Amino acid sequence: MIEQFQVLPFGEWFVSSAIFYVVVVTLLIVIGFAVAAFLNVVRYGPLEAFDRLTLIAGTAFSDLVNFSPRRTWAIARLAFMEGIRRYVLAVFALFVVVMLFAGWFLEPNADEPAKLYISFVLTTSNYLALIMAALLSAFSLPSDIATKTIYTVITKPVRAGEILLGKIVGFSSLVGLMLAAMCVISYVFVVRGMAHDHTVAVADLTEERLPNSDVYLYRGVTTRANGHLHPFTVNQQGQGETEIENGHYHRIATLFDVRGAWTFTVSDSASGSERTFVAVMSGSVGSPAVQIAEGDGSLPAAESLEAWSRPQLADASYASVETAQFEWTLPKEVTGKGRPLRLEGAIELPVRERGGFLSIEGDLYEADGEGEIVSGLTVRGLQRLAENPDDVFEMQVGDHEGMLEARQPVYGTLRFLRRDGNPGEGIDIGKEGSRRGYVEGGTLGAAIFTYDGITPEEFPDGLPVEMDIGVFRTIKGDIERTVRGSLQLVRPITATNTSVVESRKIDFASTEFKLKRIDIPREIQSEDGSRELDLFEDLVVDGKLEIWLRCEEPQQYFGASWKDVYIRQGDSSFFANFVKGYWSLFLQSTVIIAFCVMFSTFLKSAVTLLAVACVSVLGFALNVVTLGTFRGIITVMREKSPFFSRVVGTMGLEGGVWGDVFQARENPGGGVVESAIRIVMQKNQTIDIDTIPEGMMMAIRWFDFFGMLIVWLFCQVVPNFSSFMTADFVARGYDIGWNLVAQQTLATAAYVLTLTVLGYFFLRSREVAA
Amino acid sequence: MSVETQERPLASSAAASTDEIIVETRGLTKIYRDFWGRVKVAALKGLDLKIYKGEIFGLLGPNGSGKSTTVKLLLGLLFPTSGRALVFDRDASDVKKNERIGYLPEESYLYKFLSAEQTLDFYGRLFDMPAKVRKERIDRLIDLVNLQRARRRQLREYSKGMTRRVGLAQALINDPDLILLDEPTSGLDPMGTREMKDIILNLRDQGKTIIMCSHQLNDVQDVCDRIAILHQGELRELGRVSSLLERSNATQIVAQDLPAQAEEEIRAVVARYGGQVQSVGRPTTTMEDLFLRIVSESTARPGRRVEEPVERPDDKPQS
Repeated sequence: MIEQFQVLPFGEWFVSSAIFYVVVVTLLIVIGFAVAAFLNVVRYGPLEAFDRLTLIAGTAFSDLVNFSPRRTWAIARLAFMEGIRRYVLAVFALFVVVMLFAGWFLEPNADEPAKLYISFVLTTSNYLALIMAALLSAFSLPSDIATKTIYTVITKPVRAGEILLGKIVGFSSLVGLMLAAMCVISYVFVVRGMAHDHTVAVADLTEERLPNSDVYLYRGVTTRANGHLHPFTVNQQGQGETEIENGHYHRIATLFDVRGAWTFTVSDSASGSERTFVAVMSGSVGSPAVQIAEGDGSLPAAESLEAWSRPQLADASYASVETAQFEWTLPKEVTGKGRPLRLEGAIELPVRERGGFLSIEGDLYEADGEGEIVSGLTVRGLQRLAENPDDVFEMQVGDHEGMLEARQPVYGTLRFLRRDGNPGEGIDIGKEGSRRGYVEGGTLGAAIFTYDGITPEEFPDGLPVEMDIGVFRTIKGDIERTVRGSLQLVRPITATNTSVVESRKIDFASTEFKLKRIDIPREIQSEDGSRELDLFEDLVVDGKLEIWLRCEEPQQYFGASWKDVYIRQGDSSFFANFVKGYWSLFLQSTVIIAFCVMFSTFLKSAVTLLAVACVSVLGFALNVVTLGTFRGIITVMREKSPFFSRVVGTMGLEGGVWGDVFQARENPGGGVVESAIRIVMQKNQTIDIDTIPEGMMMAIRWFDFFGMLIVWLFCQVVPNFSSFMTADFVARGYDIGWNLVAQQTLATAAYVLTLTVLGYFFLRSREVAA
Repeated sequence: MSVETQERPLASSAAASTDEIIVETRGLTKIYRDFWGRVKVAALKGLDLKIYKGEIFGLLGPNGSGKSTTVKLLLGLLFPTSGRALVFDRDASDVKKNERIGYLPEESYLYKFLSAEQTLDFYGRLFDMPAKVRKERIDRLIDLVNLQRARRRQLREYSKGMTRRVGLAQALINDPDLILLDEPTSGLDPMGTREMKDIILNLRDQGKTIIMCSHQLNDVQDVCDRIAILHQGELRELGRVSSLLERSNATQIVAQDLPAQAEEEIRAVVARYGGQVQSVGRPTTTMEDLFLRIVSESTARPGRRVEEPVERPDDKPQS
C-alpha cells in the first residue's frame, strides 16, 4: 500500500539509517566476539583462546586486504551456470505459461483493469523470483559441501567471503536477468491487454445549446470495447474527452473531410470581375488532388494541393482549433492573372452547421514569392455538405489515457480544523475510515494541506490538483449522488508572512472512489471577489501554499489522509516506472539470496529455507510486530514503573508522533504464553485470570515481555520487505521516486555486505570436511 | 605421454636432499565427538611429521587409519583438536598457503556441468591468474593429461579415469610447490596408473614436494621416497622405502641364458660359503609389464592377432 510509504527525503533517511546500521554492526561485532571468546576460552583456556582470536582477527583482516574481484567473479560465473542448470528454465517456462493462460482469467472489463493486470504480472514475477532465489541459493552451498566439490574450491586461495559474495552476485544476476525478461514480457502483456479502440458515429450525437449563449455542445457515447463504453461531450469543433470509465479516458478529435465538390468565386476588386469555379477535391489528406473547372466546367485543369492541414489529434488544444489551415496553388487559369498563385486560407469548421456549409476563405500570394500578398484578389468557397454527416466528419477516439501512467505527486502535510474552527484532529468515523480524518460539512472544520516547493518554474500553468477523498454520508439517499465541497488556496502564515490571503472557493462535486482533477489557474479571484490574485505572487510564500478542503453540505463528511490531495507535478514514463517496480523485485530477491547464502554456511538446505521463510515473515509483518511489541513493552513498563509513566506524561509523549506507541492502552490478552493459557482456559482477552496466583501471572507476563523484546530485536535487523513492495505504485499509476529507488538499493547493498561478512565468519569457523 | 621416466632416475634421493621443511605436524590430533561431547573416534593421535622439500612422501594404512584425516588437516578442511599443522610455515587454516598447494581429492569432486576447459579456467581464476596465463596453463595441462579430444565435453560424460585426469590437471593449475594426492591411482587402468606414476615422478624431478596417501602398496613402493604407515590413528612406521624393504641378509642374482648345470655349481658355491639357497626359479614378469607390452604392441601393429585356439578343460560344458 502506498500509504505505508511516507518516503523520507534521502538525506534524512541516509543519516538515520547509517547511524542505525553502525549501531547494529557494532552490536553484532561485540556479540560475535563475546561468543567466540567464550567458546574458545571454554575449549582451549584463556591463553590459547587469545592466540586463536588474534589469529582469526588477523586472517580476517588479511582476507579483506586480499579481496580479489576476479576470484569473486569466477564464483559468480559458476553460480550463474549452476543456476541455469537448475531451475531457471523451468521457472521461466512456468512464467510464460502463466502469462499465456492469464488472459483467460483476467477481465479487461474490470473496474480498474490496469491495476489488475499490473498487480497480476508483478505479483507473479515476484513469487516466482523469490521462490527461485530461495531454492537456488539455499541448495547451492550445502550441495557443494555434500558432494564435496567444495574441497577443490576451498583448497584454492579463494577467500570464504569471496565464495559467498560470488554466489550472491551470481544468483542475483541470474534472477535479475530472468526478471528483466519477465519485465519485458509483462510490459507487452499489460500494454497489449489494455489496448482497445472505440469509435463514434457522428450521426448519433445529440446537440445541446448552452443557456443564454450561442455555444453548442454535442453529447454522445462511444462504441463498446473491452466491456465498457464512454459517454462524452465535445465542443462545437468536435474536440473533447470522454468520461472516465475503467480507470481511463480518451481524447476525441474530429477531422473534417473537405473532399467533394466546392464552388469558388475569385473576385478581383480592381476590375470588379468575379469568376466562379467548381473544384473537385479528392485523394487523401496526405496526397490530395483537385480538379478545377470554370463555371459550367468547360475549362478543366489539374493541380495538386501542396499542403492540406487539418486539425489532428496531436494539436488537441481543444478550445483554440476552430479552423483548419490549408495552402493550395491555384493554376493560372483560375487566378486570371496569367500566372499561378498560392492560396493560403482557412476552412471554417462549424460542427453546428452540419448539413449546412463549410466555408473557405483566403488570400492569394505569389506562388514563388515570400509572403507577398497579391492585392485585390480574394477567394471564397463554399461546400455543400453531404446529407450524411459521417461522410464529412470523422471523429477520432484517441488511445486510452490515465491508465498506464506514472504520476509524480507533490504531497503536503495535513492538519485539521475542528467544527468550531480550532485546530484539532480529524473526526474518527470508525474502523472503516481509520486512516483518514474526517471533516464535517457546513461547519468551520477543514482539512488543511500545506505544500512546499511550489514555484512558478515547476508549475508555469497553475496547479493541477488531484484528489481521492473519502465521503461519509450520514443521511440515507442515493449513494451515487455527489456531495459538494470546496478547495480554497490560502497564503500560509510563516516567519516572513503574517497576513492571510485567501482565494475564492473552488467548488467541486465529490466523486468517491474516482480520482478527481482540478486545475487551479495562475490567476484566481480573492475571497471577496474584489481583486484578481496571482498564484505565485499573492498566495505562495517561500514556496509554501495551503489548500483548505471543506465539505459544503451539512451532515456530510469528507475524509482525507496526507496523501489524498496532492499536486501533480508531472508524469514520468510508465515504462520506466514499470522497470523500477521490477528493480524492487530484484532487490528483494537479492536480499533473500544473501540471507540464504549466509544461512547455508551453517545450516542444511531445508533448514536454510525454513530460516529464510522466518526472516521473510518477520520482514513482511515488520510494522505490525514492531508497533505491537513496542506497545506491549511500553504498556508493561508504564504499569510496573510509576516513574516511567511520569516521564512519559511530563515529556508529552502521549500525543503527537509518538502517541500511537506511548499512549497507555490495554494490552488485551497479553503475550505468547498468556494468550496460550487463555486459549486453554477459555478466557477471553478482557477477563482476569484469577485461578492462577498473582506471582505466577507476574512471572508469565515478564516472560512474555522478554519474549516480545527478543522478537522486537530480531525485527530491527530483519529487512522491511514491505518497503520493497512497490507493485502498488506501478499498479495505481504513481511514480516510484528515484529517492525510494536509491534507498532500496542502498539498503540491499548494506544487507549483502553485512550478510557476506557474517557468512564469512560462519564458513571460516566451519569444518567443511566434517 | 612419455615413458622416459620408466627408468628410475638416480636423482630420486638427490632431489630430496635439501633440509627445507615444507610440512610439519606437531602432536596433530583429531578427535571426533558426538553432540554431547563424548569421544566417538580418535581419528589421529599426536602425529609428528616433517616432510622435506623435493620428496615424495607416502601415507599408508588401512581404511580408517587416519591418512585422509591427516591430508584434510593439512589442507585446513578439518581443524585439529589439538596440536598444529604447519604448511610452508603457515598455519593450515591460513588460506594464503593454498597459493602454493595442489590437491587431488580421493574422488574428483568437480562440477559435472563444466567441460575440462571450463573447469581448469574456473580453478585458474581462483588463483587470480590473468587470462593469458590461464590459457597457456590450460593448454599445457590438457596435453599433459591427454584430454585434447575431450576438452570441450562436459565432465558428466567422462569416464572415471578421465575425471581423475582432469582432477590432476586441476591440482596442477597453479604450478604448485606442494602437491597432495589422495589415492592418485584409484579408478585408473594400468596404463593410466603408469602414466600417473610417471607424472608424479616427473613432478618430483621438477623439485616439487608430493604427499600421497594410498593403499595400493606397489604404487607407493614404486614412487615414494619415504613413507609413514598409520594404523588406528597412530604412526607405526616412518622411513625410507628403500631401507624399509631391504632384506639385509638376503642376496638376489638374476642371470640371463644360464645353462642348467651352472645352477648346480652356484648351489655348491653358496653351500661352500655357508649360505642357504632359499629358492631358484624363473623370474616372472609382472602383470603390469605384460599388459603394457601387449597394449603397446597392439598399438604399433593394429589388427586382430590370429592365434591357435587353445582348448582348456574349463571351457568344456559340464556334462
